[in-house]
Amino acid sequence: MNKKLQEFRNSSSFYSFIGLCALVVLCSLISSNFRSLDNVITILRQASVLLILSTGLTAVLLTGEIDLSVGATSGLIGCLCAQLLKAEFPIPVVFLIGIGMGVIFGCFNGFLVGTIKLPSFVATYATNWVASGLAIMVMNGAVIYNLPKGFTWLGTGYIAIFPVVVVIAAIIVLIAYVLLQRTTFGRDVYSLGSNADAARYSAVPVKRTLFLTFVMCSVCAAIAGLLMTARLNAADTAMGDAYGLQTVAAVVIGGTSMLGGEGSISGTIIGALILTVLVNIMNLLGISSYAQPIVAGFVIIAMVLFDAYKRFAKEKSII
Amino acid sequence: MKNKWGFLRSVQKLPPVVWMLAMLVIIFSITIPDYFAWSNITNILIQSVPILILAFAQTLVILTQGVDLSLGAQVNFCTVIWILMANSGIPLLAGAVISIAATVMIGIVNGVIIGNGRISPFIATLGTQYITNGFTLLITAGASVYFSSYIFLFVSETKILFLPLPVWIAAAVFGVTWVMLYRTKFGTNIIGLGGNSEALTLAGISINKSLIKTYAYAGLLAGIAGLITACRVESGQPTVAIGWEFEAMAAVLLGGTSLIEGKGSLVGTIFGVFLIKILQNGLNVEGVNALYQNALIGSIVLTAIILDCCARRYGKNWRNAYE
Repeated sequence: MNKKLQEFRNSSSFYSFIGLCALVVLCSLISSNFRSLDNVITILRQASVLLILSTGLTAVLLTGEIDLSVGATSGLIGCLCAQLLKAEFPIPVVFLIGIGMGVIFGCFNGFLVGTIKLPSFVATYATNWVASGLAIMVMNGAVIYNLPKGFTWLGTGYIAIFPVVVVIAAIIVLIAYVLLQRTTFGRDVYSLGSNADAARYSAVPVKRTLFLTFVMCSVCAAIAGLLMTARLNAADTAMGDAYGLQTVAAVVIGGTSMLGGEGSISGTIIGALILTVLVNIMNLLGISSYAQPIVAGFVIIAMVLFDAYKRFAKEKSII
Repeated sequence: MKNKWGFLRSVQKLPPVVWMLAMLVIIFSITIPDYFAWSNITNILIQSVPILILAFAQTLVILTQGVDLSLGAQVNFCTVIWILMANSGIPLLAGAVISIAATVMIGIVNGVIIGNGRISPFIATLGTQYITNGFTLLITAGASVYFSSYIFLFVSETKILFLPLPVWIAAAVFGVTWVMLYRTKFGTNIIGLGGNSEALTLAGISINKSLIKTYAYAGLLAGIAGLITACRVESGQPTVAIGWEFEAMAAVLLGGTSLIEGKGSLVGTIFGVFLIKILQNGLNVEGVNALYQNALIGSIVLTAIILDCCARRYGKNWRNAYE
């Protein structure tokens, strides 16, 4: 037990965890509404979509690559599925098509990065551009609302006392955790991120690992897109855009290094919660929505600066 | 005999972005009547000016293996505070100087966080992007701000040698940046930073100082782009430049500047910007539905980048095969 605790203390997400705790304590002191059970459920619900997106991205960042296309991909898939639902396709079929689209986008990104060896930054940015363009085409400039009840249940319904979105997010996080921490694939991901050359020489299937991480990321984006549409009970071309960079921020706040090889899913949960709690408390306090990015920006920089400082101190102590 | 093939070989060595650009111009000149009319050419040029200036800034930053995501936010910020200051009675010229000083400050902050704080440029500038955009929206409450002055029209409409003034400003920025990058110690340091920063440290050069200077210079250019934009739209627009940093980045990458190796060229960047802008202009003039433009531009940019990457990797082999 003690050893586990020590491990956690040394992990990259330890300080993010302290940050989250401090934030929650501070918020509960400031606002009595924040403490209510309703609000806790609201926060979990708000965090779910961001969490699903960031879970997928964590895998990609761990390999040392990046996926800038998650926001637009989730938006596109949400729009596409809304159109299909309007055309009265059955819900399970729509779901399969959505996830299939996710797989296609993941393969495309994986192909560009793994096979053609484009820098992931560039390749996924271009995919982002294409996906948001396709979303505009799919929607034909309109907004769709009033989706079937069975579908919106995903976004607003409850299983026992837990909102469905939260349950789905929890399942996805669990699957990702097992994949990254308990399988050979997960070990490959980490080794690829910490030293790509060493990984190549130790016969890690680099191309396949990259493919799989990008597919994982895009499938998460697809599910997030479906849930986003179900929660809003509407689809709009721009709905995923805000998530693009926010997702990167959540993963990095959670202690995952942009250079790869270091970080974890549990850190990402903390990162997504920090961002969501921040927005939640600012809404409760009635802070102008224009001021919110300012606070978010400061928090992102502060968290990452602190992380870098800590790493620097560690390096010094080793030398 | 040798000379004849020498010319062909130098054509063969041109980067793919030039080929794509030439192809686009040929297609558009066939399908669009009067494509080479002077008005259309100046139109394309003047539309390219702000992105060109930002792309020069982004080239320098990418050469240091960084990226500046706050450039668009800096442009927004600059247009807004300039007009707001004008409204509160500060003369336009003084306001312009203060606005540029403000964006340079943002650049310095970027450089300090990235250099001294040792954090990833992507996250650092994402943070300053959030902060700057938030601040801009806060002081304007999200609405555009207006001020009327003949100076705006003077800047955007004056023509020197048949070309509008902003185009000359962009050209001047190019000249200064080129000289700085290739003819000064500072420029050598920038290129060295991307190539081998360890060697630079061992040679006794302060990486932090060079980084701060680079990001500050990027801020300066963003300020200039902001002032030109404000003159063109004759107002301060808090959201006018959202996404411009990415457009500039795409142009830089199209121009063959590499994110990893610290290699690249300013001239390539110009081709990259014109590829994007000529494409946008051509699609507009052709009357392609705006709904399809984003996806189309995205795919063409992606194709160009893939071609460039392949040409670089296999280019040597191709050339060897010919010899």
